[in-house]
Amino acid sequence: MNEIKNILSSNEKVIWEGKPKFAPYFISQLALFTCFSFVLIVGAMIAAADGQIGPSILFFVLGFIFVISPIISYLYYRKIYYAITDKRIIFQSGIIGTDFNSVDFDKIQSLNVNVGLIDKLFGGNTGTISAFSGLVAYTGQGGSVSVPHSLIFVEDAYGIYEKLKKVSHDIKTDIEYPNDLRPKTNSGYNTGYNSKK
Amino acid sequence: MKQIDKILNKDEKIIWQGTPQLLPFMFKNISYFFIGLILSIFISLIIYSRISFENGGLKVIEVLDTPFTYLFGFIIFLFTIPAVFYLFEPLYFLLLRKNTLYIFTDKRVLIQSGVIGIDYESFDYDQIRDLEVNITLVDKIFGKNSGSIFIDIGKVTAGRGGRAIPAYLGLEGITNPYAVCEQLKKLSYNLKSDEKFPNEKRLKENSGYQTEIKS
Repeated sequence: MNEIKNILSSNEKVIWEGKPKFAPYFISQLALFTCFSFVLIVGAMIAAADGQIGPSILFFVLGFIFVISPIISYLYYRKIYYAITDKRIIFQSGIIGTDFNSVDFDKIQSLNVNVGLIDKLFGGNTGTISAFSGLVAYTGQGGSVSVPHSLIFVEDAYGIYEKLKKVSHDIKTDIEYPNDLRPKTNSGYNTGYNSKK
Repeated sequence: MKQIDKILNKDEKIIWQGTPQLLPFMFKNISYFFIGLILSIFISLIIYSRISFENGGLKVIEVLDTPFTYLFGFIIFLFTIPAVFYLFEPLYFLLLRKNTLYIFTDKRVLIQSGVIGIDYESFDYDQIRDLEVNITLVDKIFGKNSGSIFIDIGKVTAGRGGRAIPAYLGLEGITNPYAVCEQLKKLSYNLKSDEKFPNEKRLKENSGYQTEIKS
């Protein structure tokens, strides 16, 4: 259920809202889970045939978790919603409770759109839009990698990307200086520096 | 309608666009290609030494059934994966080049790429932290006045030992990289400063920051 409207500010307008398309989302989850569960259950059968009951039970339990993972994935899918407002991008997620995450437009470093094999085969015109905002994940060895906020498998990915680019630029520049007060032209930064004055 | 037109805003003007030159882009990782080539020759020689041609047909020479043989075979198999990957990497870059396009607009930098689908990466000029021009031996040998511009926009990735290093975005194998870099620097400065305060409204001189703080 879309609960984004509950966290909007009083004067915040929603420009676009949507959620992942079911088929590519579910297949992307299913492919991974099926491979894991297949390997683990075969492992359990081999261990059982060899008389090793302990490892066999462990493999079977893990395999079963991977079998039920698509169900968890479906429950997760029901909660996923995205919204682009005139102030930020909002991400709704969760399984039991509902979680929200948002990124202000002036914090966006770069915007990507990615159309992969699953989009081509099962999505039609879906794609994943990623907004990098300086968020990093720490690696095991003390390093870090940039992590995007992603709108995964959304329909009309290029159209939403174009819209998001425009809105984020318009809002960010207006925060710096009101766009309605700007002159029509920009002849470049030509101010001379004279510190003796 | 071109693919790029789908993601450009209506009032967005293209100031510069370029594509990578064929050979510098294909062989940008030429050292890996040579590693792949050497590994492939090495593996082929080992396989060739295990077979013989008799009466126009192939015959596999008997292999000793020892743990060392299996270990050696496994190591050879492990080497085959990077060998094939590195050897065919230029072909991947050839396919990638077909969809690669670099664009500077009056609002941002756009990088088009992708082999299966067409992907885009865009960032505003005020995100540019550092610009690097790089002319490699490959550019000197295969390129016609080619080179690469690497842009740091604050994205990081894990380097050797897990250390965080800048994840540069590359405009690779482009023609006349020094002039393009100069244009990008000028554009980024003029647009970045205008976003903070309109350049048309600025004074002609800046006599330094002299505002006193009142505590």
